[in-house]
Amino acid sequence: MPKEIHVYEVLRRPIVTEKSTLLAGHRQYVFEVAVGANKPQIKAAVEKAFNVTVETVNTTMAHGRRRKNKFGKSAGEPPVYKKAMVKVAPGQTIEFFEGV
Amino acid sequence: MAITKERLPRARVSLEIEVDQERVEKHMDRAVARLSKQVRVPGFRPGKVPRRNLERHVGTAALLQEALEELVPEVYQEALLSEEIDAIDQPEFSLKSTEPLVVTAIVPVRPDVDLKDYKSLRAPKPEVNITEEQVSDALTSIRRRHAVLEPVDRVVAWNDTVRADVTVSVDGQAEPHVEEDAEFPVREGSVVSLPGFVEKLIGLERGVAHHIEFDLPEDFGAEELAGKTAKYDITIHEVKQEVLPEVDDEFVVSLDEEGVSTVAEMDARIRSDLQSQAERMLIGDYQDEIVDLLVATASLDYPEVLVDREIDRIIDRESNHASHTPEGLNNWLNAVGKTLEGLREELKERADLTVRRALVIGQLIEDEAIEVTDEMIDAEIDSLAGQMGGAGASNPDSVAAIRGLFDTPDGRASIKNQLITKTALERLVEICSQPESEGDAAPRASRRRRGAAASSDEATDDSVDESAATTEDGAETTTETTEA
Repeated sequence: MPKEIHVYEVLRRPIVTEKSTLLAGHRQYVFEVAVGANKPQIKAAVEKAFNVTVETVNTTMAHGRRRKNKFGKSAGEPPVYKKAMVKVAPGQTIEFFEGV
Repeated sequence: MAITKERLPRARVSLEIEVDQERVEKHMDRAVARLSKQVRVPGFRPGKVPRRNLERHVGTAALLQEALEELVPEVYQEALLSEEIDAIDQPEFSLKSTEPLVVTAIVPVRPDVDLKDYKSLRAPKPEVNITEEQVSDALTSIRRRHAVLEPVDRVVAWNDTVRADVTVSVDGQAEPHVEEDAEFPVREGSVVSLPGFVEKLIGLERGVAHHIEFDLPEDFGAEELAGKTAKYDITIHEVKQEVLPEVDDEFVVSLDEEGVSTVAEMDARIRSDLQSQAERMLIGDYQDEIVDLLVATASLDYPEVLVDREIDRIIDRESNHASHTPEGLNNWLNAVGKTLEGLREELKERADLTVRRALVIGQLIEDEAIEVTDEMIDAEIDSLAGQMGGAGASNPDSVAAIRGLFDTPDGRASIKNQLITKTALERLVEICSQPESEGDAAPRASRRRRGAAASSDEATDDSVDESAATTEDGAETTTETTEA
């Protein structure tokens, strides 16, 4: 039973990288989402936020690689977060205005 | 591309260029390609940032700026070509609007010089009058060069040459200066040994030891001697009288001057030599005077940048090219104790005058269609090589070597410039030295003169084969008769 997450707390931010820009050409948009969010929740959140129809949602957990400093000790852990790749219905697009 | 051209004062042109949107877009894309290589946007490798992301990252304004850097010079060059503008310096750009893109460029162009009615300019040429005295002085000095010294038995008089043992000592000098068998001329106004000495010799007898004392002037050049008393012990061995050759045809022939064989011819030659010598000395001043006259009558419209460049040139020359490097310039400025701004301000007037003079002469060259042929340059180079060769002039190799120094493309160009300027000045002298005009007599004469120069057979139909010079003389005579 997944934890209740409010629809406005599912989507953290859009991920804007070369790879995500490439995916956008294939109607797929990438977001960082709450770690606890599941696919139906993400689908609902995206549909509500961007007023689109979501076809599929793929998710993955991003674990940053632990980096060692010059003394061989860890310089801290990169954050762990969840990514969601959302495919929208043909003809529909999502405009990101954030990230400036 | 729509261009609006407007002429501004001080020889500047304002160009308002409206650039098509399509073209702006093209350049925006190129700007993105350039910028994306320089700017790091997180999530993208350099050079891989899409335009949309880049625009959001650096801002549209910055992107436009980058695009303009390439676009503006490009459209500016095109505008110069299509409007046929002869720019002489970098333009000043300003952005009038972005939608649509309108760029204003203010650019200094070639100066506009109008010499007005320069053909009616008149300035009295300085008269050179050779007096009888000058001629006879010149003749005397020639005679002196060929004088014979004849020993005589009498006391010393002016213009004699004396052979004597002389011992000089000046107060405070330990060692007296001794000269034995010294031969020197006794001439009024000339200085032998110390000033005042020659005068004391007049009337001295031969073969007797004399003692002379006199005070040196207070303002004597050598400070340690000034105002001291000079003591001379002198024994004169020989007094020689100067016998000047008689001025007769025989003497004249012996001088071996070409084309001079009688006394009358000799006189005429001396007079004409003196005349041309004096004229040469005066012509420079006269040329300056009439060029300034021309500057004063002409209307000049020239950009400030010409004056600035002239100032640069003056500074460069005066600082011995130290101004080529910033440190050198600073050192030099410190040495002369001036600031760059102050110095530039000081030089401004002078540079301005130089520019004005150069401009009117340049325009004169154009108006008078003065040209220099290759043959004239060759002749000039030959004469230069001849002068430089000096003693070695007889040696064809050395003349050829010196000729080689001048006969380079750069050398020829510079000689050509000099010749053109010289010819222009001569033409100006010719124009200005015509007799003062009453009414419109002179302009008519000058028009006639121009016609004469253009086609000799039309001006003087009775003598078709006459040379240009003679034709011009003919025109000159006409001028005089018109006035009379």
